Amino acid sequence: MSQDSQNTESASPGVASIKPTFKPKRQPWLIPVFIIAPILCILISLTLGAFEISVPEVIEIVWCGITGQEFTSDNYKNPALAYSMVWTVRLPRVVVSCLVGAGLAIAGAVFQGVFRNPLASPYTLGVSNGAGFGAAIGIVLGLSTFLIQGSAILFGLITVVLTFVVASRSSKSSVTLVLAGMLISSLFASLVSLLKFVADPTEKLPQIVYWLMGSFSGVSFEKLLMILPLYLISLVVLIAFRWRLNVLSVGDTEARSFGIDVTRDRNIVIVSASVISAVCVSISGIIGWVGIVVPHLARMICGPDFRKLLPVSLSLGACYLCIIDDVCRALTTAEIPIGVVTGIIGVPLFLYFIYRKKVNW
Amino acid sequence: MKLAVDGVTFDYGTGQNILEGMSFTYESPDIMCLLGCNGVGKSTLLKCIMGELSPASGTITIDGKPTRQYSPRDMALKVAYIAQMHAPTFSYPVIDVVTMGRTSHIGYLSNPSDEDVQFAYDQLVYLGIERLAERPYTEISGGERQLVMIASALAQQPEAMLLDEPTAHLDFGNQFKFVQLVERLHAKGIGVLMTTHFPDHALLLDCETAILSKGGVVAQGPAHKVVTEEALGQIYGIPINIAPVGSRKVCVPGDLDDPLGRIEKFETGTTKRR
Amino acid sequence: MSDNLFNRGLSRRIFVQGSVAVAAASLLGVAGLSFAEEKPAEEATEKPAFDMDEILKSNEDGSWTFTDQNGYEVTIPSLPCERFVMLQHHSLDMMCQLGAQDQIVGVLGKWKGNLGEYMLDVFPGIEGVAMGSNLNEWNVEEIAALEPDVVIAAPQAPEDAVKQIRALGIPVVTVSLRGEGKQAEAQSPHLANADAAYTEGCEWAVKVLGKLAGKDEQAKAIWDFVEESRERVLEAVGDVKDEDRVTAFVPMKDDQTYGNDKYVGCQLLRAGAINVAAASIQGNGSYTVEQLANWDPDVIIIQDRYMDLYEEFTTDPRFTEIRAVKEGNVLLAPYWTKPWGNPDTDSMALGELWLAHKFYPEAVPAEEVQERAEKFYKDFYGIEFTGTVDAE
Repeated sequence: MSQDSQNTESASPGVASIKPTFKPKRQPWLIPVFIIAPILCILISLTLGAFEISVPEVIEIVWCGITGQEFTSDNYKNPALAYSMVWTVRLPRVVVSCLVGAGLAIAGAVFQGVFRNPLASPYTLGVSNGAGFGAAIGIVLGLSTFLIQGSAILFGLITVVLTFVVASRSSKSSVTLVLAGMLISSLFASLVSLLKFVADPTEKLPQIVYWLMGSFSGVSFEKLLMILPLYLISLVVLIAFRWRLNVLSVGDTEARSFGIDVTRDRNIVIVSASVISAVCVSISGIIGWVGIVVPHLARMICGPDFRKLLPVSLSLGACYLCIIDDVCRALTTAEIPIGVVTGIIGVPLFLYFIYRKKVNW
Repeated sequence: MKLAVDGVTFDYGTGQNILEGMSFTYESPDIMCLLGCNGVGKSTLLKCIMGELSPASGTITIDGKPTRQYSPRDMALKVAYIAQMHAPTFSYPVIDVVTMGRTSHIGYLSNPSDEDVQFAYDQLVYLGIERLAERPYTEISGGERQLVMIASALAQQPEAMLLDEPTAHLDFGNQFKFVQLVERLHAKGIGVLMTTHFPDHALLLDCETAILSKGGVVAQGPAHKVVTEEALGQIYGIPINIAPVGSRKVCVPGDLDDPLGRIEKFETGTTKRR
Repeated sequence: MSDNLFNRGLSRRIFVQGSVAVAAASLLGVAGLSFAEEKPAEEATEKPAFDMDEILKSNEDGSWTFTDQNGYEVTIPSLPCERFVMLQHHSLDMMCQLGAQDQIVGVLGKWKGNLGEYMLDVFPGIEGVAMGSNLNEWNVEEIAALEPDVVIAAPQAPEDAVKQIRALGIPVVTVSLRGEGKQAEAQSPHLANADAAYTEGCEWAVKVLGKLAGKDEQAKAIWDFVEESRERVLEAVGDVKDEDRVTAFVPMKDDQTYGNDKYVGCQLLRAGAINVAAASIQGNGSYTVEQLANWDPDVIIIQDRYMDLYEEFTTDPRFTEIRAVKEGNVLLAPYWTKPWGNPDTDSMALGELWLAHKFYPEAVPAEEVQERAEKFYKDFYGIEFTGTVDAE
């Protein structure tokens, strides 16, 4: 009934031609820039490393790999070694750092949106401490690296489930969820401390500490393949929900009035974002700040609209972590733990935004 | 759309009932005002109708079907709900917020089309605030924000709007303009069910009015019959005078001669006062 | 850093030609140059020449006073000690070689992880005397309750606990297996002459333990065996030129490796090889695959207590193009060769020989290594040798 009266009033036949139309502002440069940027980062990163390979040779090696040719060069005793450095040492690492950066950034953007809290991060619901506990248990039990990774994912998700169980006893508000997340998270943090305490201080303890600081040094395509299905499913879900994320981020009451099943949709996106966070943590260890700094940067560029925010966060997160990992592995011959660098770079960057009042929420 | 609230009781788990045996009916596209003092549970009642809160007992039906059986999407096609105050977190442009009203009209995982955006824009034009379209929602005034939410509700094309004290944060002029807008919506065929603290608004609209107290609905009927000096005096606990000004009826609280109790002071006290 | 490598090569050649004892002043002079900044000159000159007989001399009243490897003066009221608490794993192994198992009343809880399963064979009752205390975590009450005559400690033992034990009148002897090096640098020392330091440190350890346990003769026999093995290795591969040395890499877990001034470097030099990581890593340190690719060593040596690591190096695609991996030269070092950061007596008696055999099989045949190992096990541990020289 309202439809009919609406039409008669706002679109009467005679004035249809002068009806004001809306022309949205567009940012046509957005798409090409944010597709090209990560690709450039990957290519540049492939040229960095302690093993010296010149830029033209890296390009040649990449080309040989793509076309299936054999790489030959007089500059090396064993050209296959140079080839292997690029394709089996650097490429998996660079790709994984991009994926983890993208995943953490997207998860951060989503968590900030659904909790309407600029400080929400991929770890708000306790994923990091849960995954850390899973990894620590795996290390203490002396499991293989793959099982340690699996255990990290498992416990990362268990924490999220626990958080939901704790929160469901109370009202449905997102504040309760965040509070439950903090509780469960600190519980697991204590459990990690306990494991650190009982772990063999000469063998297991350094391994746990090293894992918790985060590193890409051991990544391979196998490890990547293990997380890829879960990663992609969650990513697709989040991108599919981009409009609903907008509505959810306006407010629970408003979203419900707009016809959204808030509890269900919010749970779907929170679980997806948690899965992404958990698989990222499982492969790289705990890397802080990416999930907070990158979404804020992205919002500065394209605004809060998730239809743009998600792809931009994805691209920025990939570039950001890729570059940070380059610093970690190429600045000195020894490896710097990436969790340390993201903190050292992330916090001042964040402070700068606050200082310049660039952070809007 | 026909809304029936029957014997609804609600408590926040404290053992103290906020609502007790609340019953009334409403049919769109009527305008209906809910009057009642602070804490009588007007907002709670609207939240119960929207399904945000679940009543302890009693039934709420829309067109004969209990509201809890409605999916959020179907519910959105029946009623739009605008809460008292909205504190936005993110600086979406106004047009995006209004377009969100289209969510129940598009596929589950689709994005709004250009037509949806244009439809949303039309609502801004209708309300005369199309100049705000590109402005960040966080940076406009409270009155403008109220209108934007109305535009979103219009974009939603519901049969009725549930408004929780829509004039609470508006200035004197905007309050009046808002009452005019309610009448326009009514003329457009959209029902309005609103809570208000201004009996004048009910009288002005001369709409269906329900007076709420702790024990339930005290009276329901057309404003000129229900909004009486006795009824209001009882619920607000102060003397109320309803008198004509020109062709309109206005509501004036307190004793007409000595609303602040100054005269009594003069009689018992000194001659310092006038 | 290349200077450092040069010194190393030089020092190797000098000791090859000369005696095993602390090398000539010229060596100290040359080696000292590169460490001049870190090491105050007086420290090098003040250090008295190493004289084992002097150290082993008892006092007139039958008690024995000596300085342990932490620089602490220890007095043992009467010898031999009957109740030992072993909180240092190399020393625990040496005690078994000395045949002093019965005198041990407590061993560090993580003996299996630190030494290996073979301890069950050489010390059948070991599980009964395992403690809650470990290298760097001491339970003072637990130790005191065992009423030991002496506690053997690692350099990383907790200082406060050591003080408390001493206050109870129980002597604590710290064994670092190094004749020099600062205590603060427990795992990554700077040494003027690593080979001399570890040789001296190991001899000191086995002979001091021998005297403490009343097994002086056995200790001397073990050390003689070590010197005999070393002479054999010297004879077989001592003339390998620096440029002909086998390049070797010895990784640990978590991307760590043994760098410069660790014992395994000396072990490799004696066996005609060189530790590739020594040129750029001091002490224990982390390495990257790219660094490894730059070094591209002839062999990679992995201790058999790190089977996961062996698995990783032989299967992980990141390593497949590294020459050692490609050519099948990832060696699994058996438990009795101990290519570790600090030496055990069997590292010197058998490990150096085994490595020389692996690098130069014509010069040191497998049968010879087998024979020496069998003799070592029979004479010292007193059991049959069950290991294999060339495991598949």
